[in-house]
This record gives sequence, C-alpha cells and structure tokens, in this order.
Amino acid sequence: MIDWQALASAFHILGSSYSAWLLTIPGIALGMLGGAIPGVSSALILAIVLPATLWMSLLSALIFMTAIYTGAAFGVAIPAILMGVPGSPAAVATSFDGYPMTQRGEHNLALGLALAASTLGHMGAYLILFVFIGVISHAVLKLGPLEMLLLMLWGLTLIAALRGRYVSRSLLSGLLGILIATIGLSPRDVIRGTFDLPELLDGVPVVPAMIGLFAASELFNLAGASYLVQRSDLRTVSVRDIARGMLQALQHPVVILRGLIIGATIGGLPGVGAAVCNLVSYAETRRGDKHPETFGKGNPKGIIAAEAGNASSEAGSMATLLALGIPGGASSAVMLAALSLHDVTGGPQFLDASKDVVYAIILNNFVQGAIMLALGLGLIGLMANIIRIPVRVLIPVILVLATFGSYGLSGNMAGPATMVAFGLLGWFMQRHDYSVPACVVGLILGGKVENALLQTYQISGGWQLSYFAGRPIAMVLLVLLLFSLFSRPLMQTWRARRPALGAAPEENAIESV
Amino acid sequence: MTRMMKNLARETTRTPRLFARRPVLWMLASAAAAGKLAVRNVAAATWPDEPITIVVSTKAGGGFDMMARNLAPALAKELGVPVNVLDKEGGAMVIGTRYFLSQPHDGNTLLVTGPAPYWYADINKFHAGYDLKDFEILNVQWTDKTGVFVPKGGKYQSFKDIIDAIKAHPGEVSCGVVRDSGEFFNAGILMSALKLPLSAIRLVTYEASAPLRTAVAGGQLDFALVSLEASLSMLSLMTAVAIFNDTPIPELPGTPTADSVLKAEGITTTFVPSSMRALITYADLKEKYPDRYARLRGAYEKVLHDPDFLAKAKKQGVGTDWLGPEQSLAQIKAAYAIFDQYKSLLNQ
Repeated sequence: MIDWQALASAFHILGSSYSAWLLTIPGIALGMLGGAIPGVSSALILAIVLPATLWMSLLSALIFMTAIYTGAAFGVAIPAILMGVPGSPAAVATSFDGYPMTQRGEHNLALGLALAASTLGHMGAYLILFVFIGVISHAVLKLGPLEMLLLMLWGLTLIAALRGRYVSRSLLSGLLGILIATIGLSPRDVIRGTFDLPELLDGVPVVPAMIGLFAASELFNLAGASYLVQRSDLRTVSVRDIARGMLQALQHPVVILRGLIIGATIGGLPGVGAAVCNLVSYAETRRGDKHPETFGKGNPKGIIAAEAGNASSEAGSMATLLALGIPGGASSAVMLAALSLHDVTGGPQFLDASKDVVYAIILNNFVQGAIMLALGLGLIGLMANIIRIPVRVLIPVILVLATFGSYGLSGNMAGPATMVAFGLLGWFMQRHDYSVPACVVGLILGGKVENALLQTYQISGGWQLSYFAGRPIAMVLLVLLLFSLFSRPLMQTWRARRPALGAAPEENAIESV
Repeated sequence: MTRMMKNLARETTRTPRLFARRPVLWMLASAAAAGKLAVRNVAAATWPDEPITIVVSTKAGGGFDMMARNLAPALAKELGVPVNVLDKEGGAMVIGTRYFLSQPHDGNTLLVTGPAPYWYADINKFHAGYDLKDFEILNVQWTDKTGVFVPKGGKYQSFKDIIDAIKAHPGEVSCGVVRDSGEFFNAGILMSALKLPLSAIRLVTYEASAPLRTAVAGGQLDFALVSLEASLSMLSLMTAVAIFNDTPIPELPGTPTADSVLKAEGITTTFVPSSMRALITYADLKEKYPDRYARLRGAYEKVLHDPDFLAKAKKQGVGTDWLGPEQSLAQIKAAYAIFDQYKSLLNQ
C-alpha cells in the first residue's frame, strides 16, 4: 500500500524545496484569518490566490493551497465558539456546544478543544490517506445515492436531538428549515415557492441565511447584555486553560477517530464535504454517548466530534481529487484548476506517475498540523479577547462584517437581504423557543436529501427491493441508523422491565399500577 | 433610503472586481484604489484596465468550467489583465445567465454557458426572461458529442448489450443523464427509435456532469449518456461503448458510432448535438463599446489560433473551434429547430 521508493523521493523533494515550506506558514495563517470571518470560505480565499499559484511549482502551489484549506478548517470554529456564529456550514455543529461553553465562561477551554481536535483530525485523516489513498478513493465511489441518502438522513436526525424546551417546536423548526430548502428549482425541474422571483430560482442562499439565523438571533438576544460572558471574573484569556482544553481533547480518542474516519471517507464526495461531515460526526458521537442530553449545552465532546469531522474532510477531498480527478466541492474545484494551470490532470494516471508529489503533499500536511497548532494557539489567544469587547460595540461590527460577507457570497444585494430576512426569523424563533440550529440543519441538508431521495427512487426503478438487496453497505448503514435511533429507547424499556421479570415482582406490580 | 441602497449597490459593483466581493480585502481595495486612480487616468484609453470575470453557469468541475478555466490564463495574457472565473451554478443555468445580464454591460464580464440545449429549456420551460437576442455569441468553442459510457467491469460492455437488455427487460436498466442536456434529449430520442416508452429505462437525472461521471465510475449506473470529450480524462475509470457522431473519433479508435450499431438493428434516427459550450458577451456591447468588442473578439480569436494554447487544450480534452459570432448563431438556431420536434421531452 505504501510505495517506499516514492516515499523516499517525496522526502527528497521536500528536503530540496524550500519555497514549498516558505509558503506553508502564510498559507495556514491566511486560511485561519479568512475562515474566522463569517461568510469567507476557503474556496473564496483559494480563488483569490489561484492566479498567484501560476508562478509556483506544482508542489508549492498544492502545498500553499492545502495550507489555506487546513487553516480555514480551524478558523471557522473561532466565531462559532466565541459568538455562536458559524461562518460556514462546516462549523455549524461546533457552535452547538462551543457557544454554550463560552457563555459559561469556558471559552478558553472550548477553543483549546477545537484546536486540538482539528489538528488531530487533520493529521489522522492524512495518515489514513497516506496508507490507503488508492483504496479509499475507489471505495468512496461505491457510495451511491442510497448510501448518500442514509448518511444525510443520519445528519437530519440531529433535528430531533437539537431540542430546546419543547420537542414539538424543535421538530417544527427542523421542518421549516427543510421547507425553506425546497424553495427554487427542484431536482425534478419543478419551480417551487419562488413567488416568481428569479433570484429564488436556485433556492435561498444557504450561507447568508445561516449567518442571519445564527448571528442576528444571537446578537439581538445579546443586545440587553453588556458582555458575551456575564461574569467579569471569567472574562479572561488564559493560555493555561487553552492548553487544558487541548489536553482534554486527547482524552477522547474514540470521538476523534470516529470524526476523522467519517471525514476521510465521505468528505471527498461531490455534494457532501465538510458541511455534512461535521453534522454526521456530531450526531453519531451524541448518540453513542451515555448522556446525550448534555449535548447542545456545552459538552466538550460535541466540539471534538464536530471539529474532527470538519478538519478531516480536507484529506477526504484531496483523496478523490488526486486519485480520481474528481473535485468534491468548491475548494477542491479551485485546486483542480490549479492543477490544470500546471498542465496536470488529477486521476489514476497522476497518482501512478507522481506518487512522490502526492506523498510530499501528505507529508507536508503532517507538518501543517503542527504549524496549525502553534499558529492557532497564537490566533485564539488573540481572538479570545473578543469576550472583553462590550457587546454594544461587538454587535454592529459583527453585523457589518456578516453583511459584507453575505454580499461577497451572492455578488449582489440578494445576500444581505437574505441575511436580514433570516435574522428577523432567527430572532423570532429564539424568542419563542424554536430551535435555530434545528432549522439550520434542515436548511443545509434538506435539498441534498431530496436530490439523493429522487435519485434513489429513479435508480431503484421505483423502490424495487432487488436494488436494495444488492447494496450491502447501505444495508449496514440502515441497520446502524435504526440501531442508533431506537437502541436507547428499547434498552430503557428493557431495563425498566427486567426487574419485573426477576427479583422484585411485587414492586413492579405496584409501579405498573 | 431605497435610492441610497441602490446607489450603494451600484457603487460596490463598480469597485475593481477582484476585491469587491471579498470583505477581507476591502481595506486593501481602498488602499489600492487610491494608488490605482492615477494609473487609470493614463491608461483609460486602453481597455481593459481592470480584471475581467468569466461567469460560468454551472458547478465547478464540469465541461463548461473546464473550458472557462482553460481559456482564462490565455485570455489574460492576451488582454494584459487578470481573468477570473466565477461559477454561478443553479436553476438549470438560469442563475448564472441572469447574474451575467445584471452586471454592467461594459465588456468586463463574459459568460460561458450552454446556449443549446440549456437555454432552450430555460426559455421554453422556465420562462427565464431572456432570449437569444439579448446576447452576442462570440463563439461556440466546444460542441461536444454524446458518449455512451459504462462502468469498468459493469454488466454491459457494448452498446448492443445495452439495447438488447433494455428490450429484454424493460424497466430494469438504469441510465444516467444530466437533466435538460443534449443527452437528456438523446435518451428520449433513443427510446422512441426503439419504439419503447421512456419508462423502459430507469432514467436517473443529475444536476451536472461531474457527479454523473462519478456515479458511472463507481458502477452505480448500468450506463450513462454523457458529453464525450469532457469525459475523456476519466477513461481509466469508465469505458466508452458508443459515440453519437457521424464518424468514430481518433481518441477512441475502437468505439463504434451509435448509428452503426442501431443500423444493424434496422433503426435509423437523428440525434441532437450534445452541449454547445460558448463564450458570450452582451448584445449591446457592439454598439456601446465597438472598440472593446473588437479588442475582445480579436484577442479571443487570436488565443484560439495560438499553437501553444491549442496543444494545451487538446491535452486536457477541451474543444477549440473558432466559428465566429455569425456561424455560431446559425448553428444554435439549427439545433433549436431539432429541439422543437422533441419539445414534449422537457416535461418528462
């Protein structure tokens, strides 16, 4: 599986190319800073630097771009944790537990957790890539619409998990999100809910809507408060606490491992990416946990799961890009363009002919993980000071940044208009205990689920069982999904009934009366 | 208030495009603008003096995107300014086309899209609010052919196998197409030639060709009709078993034409061309800025005759025809005449 000769050659290339190393640090810093601004995605930064890569060697260009990708994957966690405003769908799950921790004054800890989980997820997934790149890229192709459907349904079950005070209202918010996701041209070419506005033909732009829902609802909520963290004695930036958080992340290797396997395998699929990975990883960790009810209220494991899932999807998308020539998302499409600027087409031939370059990129990414740790420590030390800024100053600054960001995403006023509209909706929902995260999960996954559902329907000839019988991976996923949904209630019923059968029948008789 | 907003919006669109969309770079942009002003007054006579954007109306990774990204550096060299590619996918290409129309008609924005058949569906089905006359088709650069692809090691390994299987087991064989593409029409035409209803195949629709090719490569589908040349880079993952063209192509010497296979079955029919990929500007650019139009058209024509560019494009499988505006429009109109006969397919 490992081509030792190519590996030796990769060491040689890396050892003799100082320019690639020189670009690593600025790349990570650029990605991290960009990612920390809501609305700026890694794809955006990559597109900006694309013309510059023309003057770099192929290896330097790819290393620079993966460094940006790496940095951005962690950068998005910072506003998600500190302000409850994920700047990209990749960090939505990070905000579920990150922001409650900040509100409790555990922002240092939360940022440390995220940094360590992100780094470990990144390095671990690249390690998987290093050993299995050929295998993994082909295995990923075996996932058809049915498997995608099941994976995304898994993410969608989060709606039920992300409940506020009332379960019914959370389900309603999730449905509202799904309903909003159906606006526009359907996968079957039916125009729905656009009110004849051509701007809505492609549906509601998800990222501005998401920023509006989270940012405006959180910030309006804060308007009465003076600081993000209520207690002034907790309003500190402590490197020791950040380090404590980083160590704490190490205590949950299973959570990290689960996240990075999810990211490394499905992260590279077209239309899946980090946006789905962080949700699936979070959903799975929450369900596997002994105390699922603590998630969403500041459980450190939530941050670890989300960050490991999101950071590792980079390796997944590099696998499909380099080994198959298939871009999994906007970021890897820009990288594909960088490859073509260097007259290279990704794919099996590239992997065979240039395995040393591929190994060099992977090796460099291990080092990127270490650099990210150091740079990230500095950046979060700096960014954590946000909690010292009075809310009355912070709110306008964030809203202005988010407005520019959403303008940047749409290229016209549709972005800011969407953000404002969804901001009002978010504020209303928050005020009346309708879960905003549940709505966002519905919004992000609704359209993807529908597309996968339609394709499953078409490919199975209208739900013919013979198709499902021939999909073993899907069957395993289905069993896991059902098990994770129903095992706990069944276990509880079983446990409740067990004493009835055994030691204390009388007691149970009384109970049942 | 509204006027202020509108002015604001207009001002922002005028800011140099590379920076306007990126909030991080706003400060940079204003700093750069101050320095740039002086330069621009001197250079005002020579267009272009700011980056040009090619809007692509599909997702990154497909044939349209490939063509634009391939063209961008060559055009940049010829015009002396950076040329950026912006993917504005969605709404069956309506989003990108409408976005393009909403930009200032000053030559600084170009469009790569599919005037046939995608615009045909936009105009006739979605009432997209634009028409051929709103555009100046600079050139249909890449008219792709339809290829019939099967997964490596799939159930069927020839076009005849596929046809026999469809006839023997109607409703069992799955076929992937991009919705509203030339292949979508061709799937319908093939079925009517076989005198079978469309439901005799499991038609699986995709939004773009990249995920469709991924699905074929992964063996998810029995076969797929995909634009051929944009798929050639993935030949190690899937096999072409037939092409919808008058003659076989040099890249695939052993692959028969669909016509020859069908003829052996006693069937003759006319298929539609696959996607036409064109570089497009505004209809009114010619009158408003005749010098810019001439410069643009000249530079583009020169690029398409540059041996280095042609060699590179060939290597990546990107088409490089130069038909010019008049002939391009004639070809599009000819294709529309065929689509008119199969218009009912759009409502499938």
